[in-house]
Amino acid sequence: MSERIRAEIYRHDPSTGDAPRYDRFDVDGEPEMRVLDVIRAVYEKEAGDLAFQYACRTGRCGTCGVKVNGRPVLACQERAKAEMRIEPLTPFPVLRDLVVDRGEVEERFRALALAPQRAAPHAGTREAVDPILAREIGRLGSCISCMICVSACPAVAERPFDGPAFMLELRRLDEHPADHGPRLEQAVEHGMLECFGCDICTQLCPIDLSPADAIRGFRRQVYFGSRDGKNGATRQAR
Amino acid sequence: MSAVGLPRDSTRQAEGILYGAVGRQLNRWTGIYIVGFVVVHVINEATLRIQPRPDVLVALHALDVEVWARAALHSVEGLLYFAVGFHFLYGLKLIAMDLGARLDVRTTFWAIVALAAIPGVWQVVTIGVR
Ligand code: HEM
Ligand code: SF4
Ligand code: SF4
Ligand code: FES
Repeated sequence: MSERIRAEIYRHDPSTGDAPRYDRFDVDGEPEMRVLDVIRAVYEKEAGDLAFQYACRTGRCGTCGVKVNGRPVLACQERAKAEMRIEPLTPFPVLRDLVVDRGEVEERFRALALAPQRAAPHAGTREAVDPILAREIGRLGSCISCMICVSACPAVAERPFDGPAFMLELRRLDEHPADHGPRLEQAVEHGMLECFGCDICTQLCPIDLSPADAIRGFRRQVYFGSRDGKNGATRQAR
Repeated sequence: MSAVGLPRDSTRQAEGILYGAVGRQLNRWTGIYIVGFVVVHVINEATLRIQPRPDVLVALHALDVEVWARAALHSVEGLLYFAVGFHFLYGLKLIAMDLGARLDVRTTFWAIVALAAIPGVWQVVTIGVR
């Protein structure tokens, strides 16, 4: 099986003052070809000045996010389509072509102070953690910060909301037994109540996480309070 | 659920219907559709006694009452039933999930569409398409 793949790729270098354009490329399709393979083929054979970003090629580093036909995906994981329009991830500022500036994203993560904030200094002895809870925290911590969910989220587009990935990180710490930071308050402050509950983030997350579930966990805390006085109103290991 | 060390056990593809996107848009448009009907109806009821009747009110009355009698517009009525059903069920689903219900996006979407379509389809079956 070998079909032609037609890719329209967004090209823009903001430093030149030229308007953004779409360049069209035809690539020989191969079975199981991924979007990133197409981009690399274009780069190697036709457009050596094409700017794009990736590292792991196994869906683990979260750096290769692009929009394909309007839908945010990991380029290294999404199967190539016969007709593709490949664009940089919105709503982030474009550095060049498919590469976006993640400075604001990193700044937001930093501002949320995502290390466990202890009530008292560590005693120096081991602290037992319920293994099911530990697994759940580990699962929530497997987010690769690819910003696919943030890019797809309609609440981010319409309302003052930081985005699903940030809520998921706050939820992870809220579930963490050692953390005593004001995670629910932070979530509300960063727009948690603006979420539509549409689960687009859940459907598109390449790691099978559900930021929408994390948000619903916070919401149950708003309605019912928390069971143990700190967090865990909704601890549900799956 | 996969093991902690290997969070991704499948190559998830982003193809297909985005149920959440369709559901949210439908919820918005059905809400607006209902608002439209309610506004026309309430204003008509509130102004029934105004005499003499200016042309706008006559037209409004026609829109609120006579629309239902007109053959071509039974689909409008069927759509209103669907809109009320969909908006109500989708809203209930959102609230139930916020309160802790665990529902699958895809199945609930189709279930809500099917349930909401029943009154309109029933109307067509019993009254027929006039
Ligand atoms: C029958 C019971 C109803 C329930 C359970 C319900 C529930 C809801 C919920 C939960 C939302 C928020 C959706 C979101 O956050 O995305 C909503 C939005 C809305 N509702 Fe209702 N609703 C009901 C009746 C109505 C009626 C009668 C009208 C019109 C008069 C209406 C008009 C709207 C509109 C215009 C929106 C905004 C949609 C949007 O911004 O996307 N609703 N409804
Ligand atoms: S929650 Fe999923 S989609 Fe969102 S940033 Fe993390 S890994 Fe990416
Ligand atoms: S469920 Fe909420 S956070 Fe997730 S995509 Fe929809 S609006 Fe955004
Ligand atoms: S290259 Fe690392 S996730 Fe795609």
